[in-house]
Parts: sequence; structure tokens; C-alpha cells
Amino acid sequence: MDVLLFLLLLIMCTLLIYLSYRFFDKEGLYYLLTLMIITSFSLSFKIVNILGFDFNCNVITTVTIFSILYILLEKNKKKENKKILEISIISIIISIIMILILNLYIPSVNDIVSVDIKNIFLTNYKILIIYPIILLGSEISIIYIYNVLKKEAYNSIFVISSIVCLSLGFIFCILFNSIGYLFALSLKDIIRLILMNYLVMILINIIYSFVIKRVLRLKKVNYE
Amino acid sequence: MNNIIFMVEIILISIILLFLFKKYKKEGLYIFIFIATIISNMMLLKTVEIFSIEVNLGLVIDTIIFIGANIITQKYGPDEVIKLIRYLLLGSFVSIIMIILFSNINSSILNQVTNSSYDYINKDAFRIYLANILAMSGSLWFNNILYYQLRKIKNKIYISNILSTIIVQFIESIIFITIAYFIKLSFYEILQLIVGRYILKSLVGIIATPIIYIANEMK
Repeated sequence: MDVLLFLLLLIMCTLLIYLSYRFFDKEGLYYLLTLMIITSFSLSFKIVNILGFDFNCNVITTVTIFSILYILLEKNKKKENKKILEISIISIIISIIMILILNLYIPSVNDIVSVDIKNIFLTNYKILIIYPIILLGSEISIIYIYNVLKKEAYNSIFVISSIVCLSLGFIFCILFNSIGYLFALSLKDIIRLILMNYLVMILINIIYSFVIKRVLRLKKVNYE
Repeated sequence: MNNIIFMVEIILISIILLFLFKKYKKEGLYIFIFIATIISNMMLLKTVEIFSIEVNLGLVIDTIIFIGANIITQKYGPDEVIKLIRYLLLGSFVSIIMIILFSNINSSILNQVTNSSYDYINKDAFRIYLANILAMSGSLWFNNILYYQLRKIKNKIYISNILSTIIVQFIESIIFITIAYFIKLSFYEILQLIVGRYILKSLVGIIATPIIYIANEMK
């Protein structure tokens, strides 16, 4: 059942990338980027166990964010890249402000969820701080690596996304898990989590490479 | 304490809305409304007391979304808001479905307390999330028509905004509370929640009227 749910989520994200670009063009991808950043942020607090493998919920959404970036970088002019980062920063800042406001309010006597909200956001304050920073760092690095590889005449998006996933993905997993779960989990568990996240990330990236290729071949259709 | 945070939240959200409008124009308003809807879904599970009225959190951000939509109607016409509602429906459904599906996947024993809290909050929250999305998109659609008609009859921002706020927030409160709590709570409790939500949302909507004036003056 868990595997099916995971596959369903994967198919959903894949379709979203494809449909957003097909029906709403670049504008759709910007909205999807915003949506994925906030959802990914909220998912980053949970660890799931599927077929004995432990990994963070946000792996799918993080790879989706990276894939949206590749498509935008391919479709955008170089000066438009600043907009991607600006939108990401704004989405993250607003999310953090709202989460802090959410925790500042004193709950009513009938409230039953504030203890759980505190357990998620305040107990895991390291994730709350580190995930946005690492995500933004990754976006900046992806833009940089993309431009460098393009200059070196690597035109295949499959090659670019694979290089980014293998190198940056590993750094992302190490930083996120080691800082996010520092003192909360044992070193052995953190290493296991890093490796599992990395493995799942690579698998999803391979699937997404075909989607990105398909999306990049799409011609703009006016549905108005 | 809550009353102070409530006022600070109104100011803060209004500043964010105006900043995004100044920087990205129409696209900025779209981004704001998009982010705000997803976040308001996360917030509304917590209940707080503001001015001695018990309400679900997230009503400030909810009401400012209507102000954002009114700016779009005022500056770009009602068709733009219809386009926005389409994006909004799609985006919020996708976001809540993802969160709920992940909550139903078996949690790891690592970081167990957080995982359990995450599942506890989201597993049965679909009804409240759905109530928010339906109430929001339905009343945004009605607000769009009403604001535009009022603007056509009497071209005064404060009349269009205040009147549409008073009428639309009443409808929104009824839809949200009924879908979220019908059968779960008694009729009297539901009525109390509707009235409380309506009073506070109308208050925020009226207080936020100057935002439309400021946005209207922006070039």
C-alpha cells in the first residue's frame, strides 16, 4: 500500500510538471515552483519507511523543484534566472513568517493540535532553519553548474541533471540530514538516512529525466 | 497577547502583499494569493481566541487574499480573477492531497514523535482543508462579481470593498464552518463559530481597505 501511495505521488508530480508547462507555459512552472517549495518545506519534517527504507518525505518534491529549475533554465533567457531565485526566497520567507506567527498565537482551551504543531516545527527548529538555506543554496548552485556546463558545450539536459543529482544531490542529503537531525538521531541513523535519501533521489531523477526531455520538446499551445 | 499578534499579522501580511504587487505587479498578486492559500490551509487547524472570540487561525491571511483579488479586479478586470481561481483550486488541491497522502504512508521509527504529530494533524484534516478550498474559491468567485458590479454602479473603492466584504465574508464563513464542522458540532456551536469568524473577517477586510487605495496609486 505504501509503495502504491509513493508511486501515486511520483506520478502526480511528474504529471504536474508536464501539464503545468503544457497548459500554462512558463507562468505555470513558476506557480508550480512556488507550490512545490512550500509543500516540500512542510513535508521536510516527516520520515517515512517504505519497504524497510527510511527517507524524508521531501525527496520527491525536492527533485521536482530541481527538475522545474532545469526546464526554466532551458526556456529562460539568462537575465530571467534572477526571478527564479527571487520567487523561491519570497515563498520561503513568507512560509517561515507564517509558521512563526502560527506558533506565537496562544491556543484556545478547545484546541487539540498546538502541541503537535510545536512538536513538528519548534522541536525540529534545525530543519526549519536549514532546509530553506540548503534549498536556496542548491538552486544557486544548479544555476551556476548549468551555465558552466552549457559553456562547456554539454547540451544534453540528461547529462546536466545527472551531474547535478550525483554531485549536488549528495551534498544536499549530507547537509540536510546531518544538520537537521544533529543530536536528534544517532550517527549511524543519520548516515543510513543520508544514503537512503540519496538513493531515492537518484531513482526519481532518472524517471524525471525522461519527463524533462518530453516537456522540452513541447511546443507552446494557446488554449484560450 | 493574541490580539497584538493579530494586529501585527494584519500589518505584516498587508506589507508582503504590497511589496509583491510593487515588485511583480499582477504576477506578484498571483504569487501572494497562491502562497497564502496553501499556508492558510496549514494554519487553520489551530484554534485561538481573538478579542474573546474563538476562531480557526489563518483568517487574516484568508481575508487579505480577498483584498488581493479586489486589487486584481480593480486594476485588471474580473476575468483575471476567474483565471486566478482556476490556478488556486488546482494548486491547493495538489498541495493538500500530497500532504495527506504522505501522512498515510507508514512512518519511520526515526524521529518518531514528530512523525506521529505530523500524521495526527493531517490524517483526518481533509474535511477542514476541503472546506477552506471550497469556501475560498466559491466566495472569491462571488466576490469578484459583486466587487465589479459595485464598482460599475458607484466607482468608489471603499464602497465596493466594504460592501463586498460584508456580504461575501458572511457567505464564506457559512460555507467554511458548515462543511468543516457539520454533525461534528452542535447547531449552536456552529452558529457561534460562523458569527465569530464573520465578525473578525469583516473587521480585517474593512481595516485593509487602504491597501487597495495604495495599490491603485502604485505605478
